[in-house]
Amino acid sequence: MPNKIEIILKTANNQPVSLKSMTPEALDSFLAVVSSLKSIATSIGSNTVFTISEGSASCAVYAPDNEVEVDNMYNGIELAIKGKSRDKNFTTNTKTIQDQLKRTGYDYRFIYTNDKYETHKVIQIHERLREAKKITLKRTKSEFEYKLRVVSGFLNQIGGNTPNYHFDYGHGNKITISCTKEEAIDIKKYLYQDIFVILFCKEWTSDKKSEYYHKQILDKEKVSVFKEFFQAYYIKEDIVDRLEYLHEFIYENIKNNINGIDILSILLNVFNTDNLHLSELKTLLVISKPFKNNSIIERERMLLVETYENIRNKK
Amino acid sequence: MFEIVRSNHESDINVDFVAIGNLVDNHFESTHSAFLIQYDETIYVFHYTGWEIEFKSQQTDDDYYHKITETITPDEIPAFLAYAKTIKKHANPIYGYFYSGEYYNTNGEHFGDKNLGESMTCVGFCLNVLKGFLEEDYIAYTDWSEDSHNDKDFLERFCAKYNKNPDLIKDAHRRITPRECLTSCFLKDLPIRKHVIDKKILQVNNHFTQLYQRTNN
Repeated sequence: MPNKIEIILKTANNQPVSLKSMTPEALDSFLAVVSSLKSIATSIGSNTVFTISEGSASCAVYAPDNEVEVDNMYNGIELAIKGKSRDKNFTTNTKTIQDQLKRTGYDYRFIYTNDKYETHKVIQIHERLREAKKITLKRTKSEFEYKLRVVSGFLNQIGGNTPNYHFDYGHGNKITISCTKEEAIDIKKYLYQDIFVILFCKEWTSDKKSEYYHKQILDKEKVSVFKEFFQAYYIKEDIVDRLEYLHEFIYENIKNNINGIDILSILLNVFNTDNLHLSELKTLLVISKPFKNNSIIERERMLLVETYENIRNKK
Repeated sequence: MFEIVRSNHESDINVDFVAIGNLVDNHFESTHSAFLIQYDETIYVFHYTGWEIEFKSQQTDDDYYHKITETITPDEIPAFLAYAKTIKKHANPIYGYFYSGEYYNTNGEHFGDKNLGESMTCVGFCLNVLKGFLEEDYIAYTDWSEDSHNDKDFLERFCAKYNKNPDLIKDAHRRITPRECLTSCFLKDLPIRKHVIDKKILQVNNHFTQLYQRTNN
């Protein structure tokens, strides 16, 4: 059995639930919970698979190609339950699940199963989630944090006077991503397609909505590399630890991955913004210096040098 | 000249910096050069001891005199620390008096124009690290000739020991002194020229002479 996280709705309004016949109210509750599980899963995994099955109403998520992703999802949920999560995606979605779990007349099971080791491990998350305090984001000193993220979505609108595009997730759930006119012209060829992008996100610690800025369209085969990179990068809280990891990550990719230089080129582009720590830009310049005449990164590196010098001279 | 600071006693803990430090002998002659990095109220020493690269928090028994370099801003110190730790993890220099403008990079790999292996002095190490970190060349190394070396047979002995061909590496055989390395921190027009250091070093020498006289009176 592969590792999985499963959520099961057994009774709603004190009535047993079956997928074959659900009341609108029970369906709403189940969809809200499933949608949150999906948001958590897709922020971590790149090849996640969902199974919805009968026997009450159940939805389970697996990551057949990389089972560690399921463990990472579970760890993220645990952190949110303990009130220690700084990841807004985890806290808001765990909170949605918590709200449904606490409803009177509703009986949910929320279970993490890890079969990879000799001991078969089944953890009943619902018990603690029901008892836990209201899930909130762990406050940082600052009001907001800038982060790079890999986001995917169905591109169903692009353009406007202030150029932007939308990812529509259904249920009135959508995000608006700002971009430049030049980027909009480039992105519009993906209209009505599912795409992956790296976004520069301004994430508030309050309930204020995150702001998104387009950085780069990502080929499908590079999605997992960057998802894993940003996950590991931002989980470290100390800037020096992050930068050391950045060195290691690029070193390993240049050495072992035929796409190493392409990956470096993408990082040079997505980190090119005024709002990151000057040391992040500087580290990328130091790492890429030996390859500065390589045609794949030459332009991206030159543009990053410009931004770096602008920030440095302003101070 | 207040800018040369005795690291253990006179450093303002609230300022983050990268500096070059010198250890001195009884006559206040500089014998060794190292990076002193202050970050988050801790001073770190990052240097090449002659047999290994060391990165550690500053010990009180090492009595460094340092000058902060203006080529690295306080916001860039996390980047410098991460770079230093990465070099420590991956690089492996052999002791030698070589400096041909090669540098450490991409995780401590040693980049150079000539195939010298990783051979250098404590000074060469500092200069290489700076060259790798800065966008522009730090020092105009060709200003220093073999004549700047006062250990005449060093090249021959070094090559015999490490099985290298002296003719191939002769051009890279230069000796930049720890005192010159410290003095370079007073300058920020890159690359730093030897004649500019030669001028400034008189004041630095004078400073250490005064320290010597004060200690011995």
